[in-house]
Amino acid sequence: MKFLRVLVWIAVAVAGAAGLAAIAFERNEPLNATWFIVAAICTYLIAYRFYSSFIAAKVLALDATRATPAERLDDGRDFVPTNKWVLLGHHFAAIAGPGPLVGPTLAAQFGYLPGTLWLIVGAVLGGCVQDFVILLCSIRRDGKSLGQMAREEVSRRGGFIAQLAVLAIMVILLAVVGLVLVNALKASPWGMFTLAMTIPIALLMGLYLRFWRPGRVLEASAIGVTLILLDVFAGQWVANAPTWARVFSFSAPALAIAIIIYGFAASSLPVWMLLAPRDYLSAFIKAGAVWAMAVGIVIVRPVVQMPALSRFADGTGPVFAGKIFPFCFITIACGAVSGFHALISSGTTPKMIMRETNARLVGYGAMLMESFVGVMAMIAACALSPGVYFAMNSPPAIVGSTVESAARTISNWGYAVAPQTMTDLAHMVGEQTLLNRTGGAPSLAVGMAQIFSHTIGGAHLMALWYHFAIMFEALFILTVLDAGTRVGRFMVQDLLGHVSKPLGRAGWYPGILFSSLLITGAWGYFLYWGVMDPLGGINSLWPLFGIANQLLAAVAFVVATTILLKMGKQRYLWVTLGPAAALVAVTMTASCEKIFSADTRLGFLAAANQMAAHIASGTVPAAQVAETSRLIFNQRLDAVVTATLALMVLVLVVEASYEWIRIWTSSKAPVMHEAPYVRTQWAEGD
Amino acid sequence: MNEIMNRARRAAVTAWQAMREIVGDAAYENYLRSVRRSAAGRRENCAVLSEREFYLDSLKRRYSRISRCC
Repeated sequence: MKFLRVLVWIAVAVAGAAGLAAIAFERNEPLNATWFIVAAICTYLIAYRFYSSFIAAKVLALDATRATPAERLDDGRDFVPTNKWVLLGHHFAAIAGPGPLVGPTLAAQFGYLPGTLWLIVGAVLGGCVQDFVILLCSIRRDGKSLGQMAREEVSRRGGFIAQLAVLAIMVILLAVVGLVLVNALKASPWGMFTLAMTIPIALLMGLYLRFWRPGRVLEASAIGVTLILLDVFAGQWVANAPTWARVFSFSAPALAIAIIIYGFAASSLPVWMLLAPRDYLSAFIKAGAVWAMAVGIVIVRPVVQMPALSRFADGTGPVFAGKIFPFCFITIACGAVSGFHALISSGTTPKMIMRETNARLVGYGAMLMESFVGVMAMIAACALSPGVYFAMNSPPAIVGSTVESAARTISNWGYAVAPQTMTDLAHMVGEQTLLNRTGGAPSLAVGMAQIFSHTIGGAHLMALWYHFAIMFEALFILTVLDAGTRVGRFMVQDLLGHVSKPLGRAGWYPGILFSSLLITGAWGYFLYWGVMDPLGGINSLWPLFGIANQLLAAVAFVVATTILLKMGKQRYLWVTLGPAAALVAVTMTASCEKIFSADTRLGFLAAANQMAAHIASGTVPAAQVAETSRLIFNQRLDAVVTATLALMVLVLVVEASYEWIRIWTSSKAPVMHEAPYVRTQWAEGD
Repeated sequence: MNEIMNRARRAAVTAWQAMREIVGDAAYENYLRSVRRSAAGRRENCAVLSEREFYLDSLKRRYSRISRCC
């Protein structure tokens, strides 16, 4: 039996190696997406079976006899012992956001190879390890947050940096997802109508759950999902009726303002009214769409049309500027390693876990699933013709704003695309144009629609599938906006409480409105000027988001390394120290390039100086001087934000290194802040 | 045949229960079970929340901290 098991694992390893080899070395003929699936799944299986089991046994020494906080502090509200498979579902729903869909789509500009390899390797050696280790550290500390653990185990300053990083990432994240939404819905009456209708649908669900059937989420969601699907279908009638099409056609700046107002309202309203029901809807649609995409890819087995390495590996890409190192890693972010996951792993999940040994499945396993979502997004983006991909994801400042100019520019890069192709594709998906739709969401939607329509319905359902995909992306981007603005509001209220006690009170309405205004104003500012940016905003904001996210991951790994050191696990420090070093190298290099590069598309200061020189030389028309001055200010602001993030990394690394040396040389006794061991009262099979 | 039907029924019930647990439909039942478990313990004097109160309370808790990722 053991021999058979060994044979099975050898077969999995060989299949995985063959998949990775095909992705890495096949150049002569178009590659089938099946290789991506085989490579990813076999690597995940090997990593889960061997690497996570090594971490569980040797590094963390998981102890099934140790009572978890869910058992000791069970209150049926925060601390709730939960079946491991149910908790895996909960945890995955919490960590899966728009990042692993958008990041790989944008990173496809380098070709499929760098992004796919980082999605797979980065996840098994970095992201999964982070989620797993932080989850276990939090379980052993009664569910403490990353910030609390950083404060207690590293230093007070470490805790402060973690909190500041969370607030920074929140503001930039909300701005960038808002921008993705604007670019997906501008001048799209079908998409806009579909999304607008989700508001009354969510309100109806909210009333149902609040007054008629409290807590019956399945019933309310069944009603909501049915209405949403009808809503997607009805969108085509709106798009085809000229009067209604005008009502639901928004320009990009108008849409940005509408989203900012919506964010403010959603964060100030009672949570049962809009936020919670939208979250339920989003979770169902998300789960359905991700499964449908997986099944669709397996059935259709699309051919990947993007080359393994595009000509933009040299850093001159139109989607965003910068070379593969470090910008592929910064751009992929959540699909491979996400600092934000450390907040979930030290939030609700550790309070619900029944046994320490379940942390492996929940922490490591859920991140493997997230990485697979990223691989599917990469397949969907790379299944598009490269010419179409670049026409959709390039800003007008680079390829022009007509299909003719875009086709000419992109064909000159070596990726042939005819103007008629773009016009026909737009017509096929029920849009006026697909040109310059930066941000990744529309190109991912076209990729998904192609896969879905090959599975069900054929070409004449392409428009319906496209708008279903847009609705799916928009719905959970709005959920992130709602929930993020609300949590950001609490953080701001927390800070304001130090200045004025009433402003810090959670129930005082003027305080709620004021702090909502501050947090919405902060991300709204970046969103609005991202929309006005001639290079499309994504070029500046997505790398900024990636840097902030990876910074938070570096914080998590530094905290984990400190804890391992205190546990006396010096032999295994490489497990967390390796990813920490890689992330510090990536964030520091990216930060330096974003601030100081002489390339005006890459360096914030170079771009600001160039615009200032244009004003000085009189080449900017008088009517545009004020707006250009504002863009100059924004570029400098982005440089300051990036420098602050990089400085935070440096301070934390220096602080933690000092702590490590003192522990290593025994000049300081390691003090752990774990909850004391209590033997579980549950039988083994519970 | 009966055995197969029974197995299928049990699998369907398990799947349905798992679904209810994942989406939160079973949260109030879990809360009541937890209250009963510790009735003789530390929460002896605590008032038991009604289903509506529990629902609103759980929403307030969930959305006061980071519950969704990027």
